[in-house]
Amino acid sequence: MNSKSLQERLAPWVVIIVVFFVWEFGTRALGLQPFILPKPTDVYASLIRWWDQIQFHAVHTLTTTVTGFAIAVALGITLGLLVGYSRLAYHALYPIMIGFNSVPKVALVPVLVIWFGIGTVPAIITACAISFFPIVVNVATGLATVEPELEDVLRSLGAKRHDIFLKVGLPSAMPYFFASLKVSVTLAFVGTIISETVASNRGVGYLMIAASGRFDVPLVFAGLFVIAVMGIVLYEGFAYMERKLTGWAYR
Amino acid sequence: MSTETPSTPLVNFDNVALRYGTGTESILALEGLNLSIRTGEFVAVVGMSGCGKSSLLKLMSGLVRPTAGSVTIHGQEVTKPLGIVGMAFQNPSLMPWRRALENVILPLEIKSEQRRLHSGDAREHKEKARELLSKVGLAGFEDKYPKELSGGMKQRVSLCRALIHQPELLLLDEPFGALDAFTREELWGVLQRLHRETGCTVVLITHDLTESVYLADTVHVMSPRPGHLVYGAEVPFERPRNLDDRFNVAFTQIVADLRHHIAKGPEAEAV
Ligand SMILES: Nc1ncnc2c1ncn2[C@@H]1O[C@H](COP(=O)(O)OP(=O)(O)O)[C@@H](O)[C@H]1O
Ligand SMILES: [Mg+2]
Repeated sequence: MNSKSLQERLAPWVVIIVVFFVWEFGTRALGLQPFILPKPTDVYASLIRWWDQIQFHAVHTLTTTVTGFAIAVALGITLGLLVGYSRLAYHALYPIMIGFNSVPKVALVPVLVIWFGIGTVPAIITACAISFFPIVVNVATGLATVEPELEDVLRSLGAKRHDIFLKVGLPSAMPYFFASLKVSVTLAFVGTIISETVASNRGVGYLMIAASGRFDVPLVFAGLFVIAVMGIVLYEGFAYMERKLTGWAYR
Repeated sequence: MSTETPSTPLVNFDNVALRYGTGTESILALEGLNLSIRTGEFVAVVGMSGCGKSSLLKLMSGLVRPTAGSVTIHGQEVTKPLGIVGMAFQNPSLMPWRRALENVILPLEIKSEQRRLHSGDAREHKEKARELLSKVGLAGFEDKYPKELSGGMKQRVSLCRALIHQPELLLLDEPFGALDAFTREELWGVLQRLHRETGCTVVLITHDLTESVYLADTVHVMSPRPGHLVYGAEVPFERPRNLDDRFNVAFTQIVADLRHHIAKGPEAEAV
């Protein structure tokens, strides 16, 4: 039913290969130095050469991101349910949440460093701060999508508000919730890396800053590549979970 | 005033008015509405869009309270949902995460939760739902999700959900409005049969005059807002009716008559 055609399966790989191909031969043709724009083969070589360090920092970035994201999920669900259930909470909290979401999180990091010192804690908080908002909005939106007629059917049978919330509100919010998870998890990476580049001595963000300080641009790109791959893997993981758990919502 | 005699109507509207909102932006949806419905009667209500037909059903189901006048069922004032109604709408409004059978069971589930009974009767519920689904021609579709069903099938499931708890009063708000002509005719047959078998009282809101005359014992015409009843037609034809009845002179005469009364606005009425 939901099976992709062979073409659809191959398409992303073709695009990736073409991009690397153009990049490789474009940089060769233009004769660009690796410290301006490294070729994919330079990046690959760097990846191999520094593999142990990259692995160490990548694992650190991953655990930081997942920790921050987990907190964001808990916070996002809580606020989303609150705001979706109570109109008062909605009106009270929405403006401040939008305000908070509009603040560039990189501006937050120096303050966090003053409070918690350089290291993992500011990164976890930044990852969380940048990724919880889409979850709140989606959970609240999902709760609000209950069809008025369905609500009438339930109420005419004597169901109370919290019955409707449990029986209809929560299930209808699930597809929205899972859709937000996959977006949020990639945002969490952004938060972690921002914080690591500004104030950390560990993580891929730190590795890239240190490398660019030495004009080791291929290593910077190797770091970006690793982040992208981790992002794709987590995104796909959550997308898979979404399809498995809320397949009823998709045609 | 709760003594019930055989002549007590099941539903009675006495000079009912309904206003939505307050102040200058409020809307007077209904005013001076009188209506009485006998037990077992099949009533259709027709009228322009926005004249307050859906509001009429909400008053019967206890979802809203009248601003003035009174709505009684079994002689008792309706002050809250009584749980004796089944409802279906133009939009089947099924739960997409539940299979057809699980959708049908919903009312039984809510009722047994209210009585603090749990899963004990789940098996019985399923049996009932299965039986009802097969009555409307959906045997074999019990485990399908709504997205796997056609519009007509979803509407059948919705009808089953409205009937599974054996409501005394079946409230249908333009249930066939979104279906193609052939599916609609098929479902007329289904509804007619269900009405005969269950003997429940039906109130059907519709835009389709032919549908109203084909299915109902009494067709009421509602005026534009603020809504009240301006005309009622008794439909004398024997049941079960069949689709060819629609082309009888007597049938078309009733339809023409109703059309005439809908065309007449409140101004013309006063003349
Ligand atoms: N919850 C509501 N709040 C405010 N106005 C409403 C509400 N429900 C219905 N109305 C208004 O009351 C009038 C009658 O509505 P309704 O009963 O839905 O009419 P119909 O079903 O005949 O189209 C309409 O003008 C509509 O805009
Ligand atoms: Mg309506």
